[in-house]
Amino acid sequence: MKIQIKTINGILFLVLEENRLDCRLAIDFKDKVSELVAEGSRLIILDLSAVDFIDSSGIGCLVTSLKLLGPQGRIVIWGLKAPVESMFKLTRMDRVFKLCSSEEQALQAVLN
Amino acid sequence: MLTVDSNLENIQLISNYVKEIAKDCFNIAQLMEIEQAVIEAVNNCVKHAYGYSDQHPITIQCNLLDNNLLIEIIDEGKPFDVRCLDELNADFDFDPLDIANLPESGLGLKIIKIYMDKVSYHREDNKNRWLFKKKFLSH
Repeated sequence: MKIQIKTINGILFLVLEENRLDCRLAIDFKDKVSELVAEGSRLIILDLSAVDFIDSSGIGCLVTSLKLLGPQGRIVIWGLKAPVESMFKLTRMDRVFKLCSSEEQALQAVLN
Repeated sequence: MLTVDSNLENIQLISNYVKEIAKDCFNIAQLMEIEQAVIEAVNNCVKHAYGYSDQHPITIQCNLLDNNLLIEIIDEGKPFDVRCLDELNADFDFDPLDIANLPESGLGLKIIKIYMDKVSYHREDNKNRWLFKKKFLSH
């Protein structure tokens, strides 16, 4: 799995450099977040702008990641392409994850 | 008809096969729905029927008949409890604030039910056979 990771002021910025967040990637993604949580991260800004397709396993791994973060945890996602955003809406996960159109907006949302 | 090993790397092959047959009968949005449903179904074969073990057969058969796209997906893995399909509520009704109880799995079958007009399952000759039907308008 290709993912860029950087931490700024305690906020974890993840950039997924894959065009599909699907069943093949879901376990690796969960494992990576689990590792980062063990290091103390609780706030995540996730850039999905490279992703063209997401399946239910991809959505599921984001939910698992949110649970791993604990009660103080938050995942804000930005850069969703239309088919990916429509999957969040269909599964009503747009009510769980804050979806933003820019990194700046995501940063404000994760801090609020 | 297409038969591939139960390896997640083969999902794109299956998806392309189905889209090739369906492409002249559905618009782009509908083709995306079909692709999503097929991928969810094949994921379920790999994950649940075969427990992520590869090198088991998954067969896809696609036909256009009487203004319907018929997709049959066959695997030789563990049986599926058909009551789960009968009892499945195809909405996503959960409390978004109740993080501990958010659904992490089981979403795929709901997506299939939403995107397909008919979803049925039966077990025959030690094989799981899923049949999906989606209507199209004739030109």
